[in-house]
Amino acid sequence: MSVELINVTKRFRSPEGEVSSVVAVDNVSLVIEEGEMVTLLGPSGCGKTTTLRIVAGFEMPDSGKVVIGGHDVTDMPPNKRNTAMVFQSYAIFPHLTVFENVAFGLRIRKLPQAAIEEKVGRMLGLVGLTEMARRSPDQLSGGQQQRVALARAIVNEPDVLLFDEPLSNLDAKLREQMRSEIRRIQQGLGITSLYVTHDQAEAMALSDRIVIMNEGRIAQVGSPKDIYDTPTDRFVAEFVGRANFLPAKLTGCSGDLATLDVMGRTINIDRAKVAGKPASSIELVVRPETVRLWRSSEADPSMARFAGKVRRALYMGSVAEYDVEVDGTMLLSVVTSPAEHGIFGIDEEVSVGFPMAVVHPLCS
Amino acid sequence: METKAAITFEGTPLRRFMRRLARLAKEPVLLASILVIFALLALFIIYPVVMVLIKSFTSAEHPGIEVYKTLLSSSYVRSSLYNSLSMGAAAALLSCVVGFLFAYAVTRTDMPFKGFFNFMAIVPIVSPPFLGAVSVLLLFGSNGLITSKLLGIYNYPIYGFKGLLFAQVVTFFPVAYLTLKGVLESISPTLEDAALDLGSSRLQVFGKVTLPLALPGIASALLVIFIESLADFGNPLVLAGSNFPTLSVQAYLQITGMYDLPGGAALSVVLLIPSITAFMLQKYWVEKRKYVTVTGKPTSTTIKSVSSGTKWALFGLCLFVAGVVILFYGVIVAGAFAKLWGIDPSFTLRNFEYVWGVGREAIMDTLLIAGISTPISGLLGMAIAFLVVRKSFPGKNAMDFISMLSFALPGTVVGIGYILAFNRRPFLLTGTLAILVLNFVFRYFPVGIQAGVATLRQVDASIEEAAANLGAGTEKTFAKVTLPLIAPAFFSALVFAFVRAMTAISAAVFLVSADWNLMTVQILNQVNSGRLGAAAAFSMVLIGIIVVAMVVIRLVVDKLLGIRYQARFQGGGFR
Repeated sequence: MSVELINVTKRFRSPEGEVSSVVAVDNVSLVIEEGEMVTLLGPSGCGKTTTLRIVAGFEMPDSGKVVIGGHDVTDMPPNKRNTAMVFQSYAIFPHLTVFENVAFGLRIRKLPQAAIEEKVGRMLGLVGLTEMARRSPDQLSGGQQQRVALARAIVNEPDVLLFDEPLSNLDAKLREQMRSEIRRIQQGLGITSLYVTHDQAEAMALSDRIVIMNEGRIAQVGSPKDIYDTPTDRFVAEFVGRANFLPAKLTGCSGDLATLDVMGRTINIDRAKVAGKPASSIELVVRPETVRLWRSSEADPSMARFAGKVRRALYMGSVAEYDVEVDGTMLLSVVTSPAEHGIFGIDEEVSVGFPMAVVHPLCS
Repeated sequence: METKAAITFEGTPLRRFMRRLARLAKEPVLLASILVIFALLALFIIYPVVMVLIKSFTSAEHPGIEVYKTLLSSSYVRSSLYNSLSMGAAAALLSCVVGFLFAYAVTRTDMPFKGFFNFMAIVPIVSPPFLGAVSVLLLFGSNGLITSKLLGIYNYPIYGFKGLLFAQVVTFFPVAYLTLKGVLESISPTLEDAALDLGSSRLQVFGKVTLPLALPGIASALLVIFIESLADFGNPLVLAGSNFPTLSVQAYLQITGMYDLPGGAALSVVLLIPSITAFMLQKYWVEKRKYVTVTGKPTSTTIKSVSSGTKWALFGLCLFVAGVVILFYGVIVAGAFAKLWGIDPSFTLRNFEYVWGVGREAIMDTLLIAGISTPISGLLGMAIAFLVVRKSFPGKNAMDFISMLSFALPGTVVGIGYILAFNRRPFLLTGTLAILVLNFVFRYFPVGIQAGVATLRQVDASIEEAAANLGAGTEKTFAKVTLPLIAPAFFSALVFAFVRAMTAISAAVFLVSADWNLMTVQILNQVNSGRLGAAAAFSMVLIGIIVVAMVVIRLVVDKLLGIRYQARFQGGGFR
């Protein structure tokens, strides 16, 4: 089922109940299509968890609506909504066995015992915990507890599956494994899902679409590729991946090309990219992995190239990182397989540049 | 800009309030529970106190505030007030000193027999509060073991300040001990290690680290004991005598001896004021100043901050205090089996036969009343703790405040209030079983609330959110998740409610009748008519019942909630 947030706003009173309040979620509107996996990504305090809790019904918005499957559920308590949440702290019932944890929602719905056993058995098989059914939660590892939480949520066949940073308490290796497992199960069952995380790699790997949030507002919505390649502002560009920001001026247009002046160089980019942007103050986003270094300075019409000096060099085996100073501006370059592309030393005079086709202009 | 304005309007306080109400209305059981609890609190806590206040104004020929001017101009009332306050201050101070040293010795030294000392400090908590007075009479009274037998002093003047202070300190130091033990345990010993490491002497560590950190806890214990001492009725009734009148006893005598209900009400209001003041100080001033140094994991103490000399001095003190406690209970046992205390010490069961003869009905009544009020009180306490910690509804703070207030109301005030409030239709309860049960329920549930709140605050709220998320409504969440999780608090709430129902006297003494009587009142009657042996035998029976009941409650809680809650909660899910 689809989920719709319409102009949702939530303020929190400061604990003392003073007049001052913090806007946690500020006029957020969002549609999650049926079967889609959408991730809310942002720094801590950006309102992503509050948004998720509003969908679950744990928080009531001050204004705006939550619509699930065409029904307005804004004032509906959480137990009446068919949403299922996987909590950051797992929130496993410590006094119940693994089986009873998963069966909890079914027992509330008063399903017959046989149906409960069948469903719970199938679900424990799906997450690979069949052997653990009679165990008490404190006998499980963190990853196993997370699987119990997932099984407990999915077994009820919810309209919407909600994830509140479910992998943040796991170690890195397990996190990657659970990440693909969650994606596999979610796609297999086709459950509409909303996922909250502050880990961009997790968001990129899991999502159909990513919603970047900042200070309670939506900064950008798009596919992982949209978000990375064409960020709408500096915040998004900086939050997802790393970025060089280069000031530029629009000097002219001819045909499909726009001509820009960047640090004294003229570069040509696709005219559509600068449409509607002011001529005088454009900022170019250049991803560091597109920036390359050369010892010689031969001309290449598709490349924007500058003379620079290496100020910082960091060799890390599979990649090397360089800060190259061009006219007082630092350009960050991340060179993959440095053995192939050359290893440079500090204070080395180099030619530095990037393909003109990959720059992305922002309004600064 | 227009949309912004509309949003601001939608978020006005009134609208928020209405929406919170609307949301509550979707959970009818929750809404009904909240309304019922408010109605009960109003009827059984607020209304009786209001009746006492109203009645007190009619106690003189010129009703109104003049009453108190007249009252305080009486030297007898003034000395009662002075006696009550000075006794409260002295008992609080001395109990805290003993309780602190005891707690410090148990938590900060490696002295032997800690378990034994811990047990000895808890025993007085499960006994009737006036047992101390009976023991003091058996030890220091006209035929007292120590005064007449050991020292050969006859008619030692034990009645009055000294005797009462002694009895109250033995009765109340365990309260300070338990509070301060918790406080000292929560102060990480690594802080003391750090201070030692930075070059402080042991005395400086104590003076500059341990004591300042424990100070809010000490202040809290002082105020709590001050309140309990003011409200104490049994000990002063037995030990104060006519030359040391206290307010709680005078209010009682005014009503039962002189049939002057308004006068008694006025005296109890004089008692109420310092109690409420201490309560407010405790709740709003001291509690806010508590240092939280809880790190989650108990740090193993290395016990370096106490020198060997200090350790053995503390050990000696603990031994002495434990000796006094043993002596207090020993003389009760001896007195119960002696033919005539101080004159004919030969063994007899006559006292028990007598108790069974005159007290059988009171024993049955007491058991019934305690048996009914205990589960109600425990469940109500847990329910209020759950609502206050986990739910958001209008009037939440008021619910918390009124519930806790009933702890600070002296029993005398509550007893008089219940007579005044429930003596006519539609609340005609005087002389019934119900009035005693209700009184116990609403007097002793604050301890359950406190325990429940403290435990619940340590349970990750998302565990209950998970239950709601899986379709459980508030009442199902409470029964299937919350209650099992706070089972330890539930257990202590039940034990406390039962112990207090068995040992209560100050309010109950106004509410017993020919049909429904209580063991404590019977014991007090025996003391007043000089039959100390019978009183001692009665007390032994009472303590025996309490010990058995504690075991039974434990079994029932385990069985009902179907869990093994010890060492169970370290696992996942709790953070």
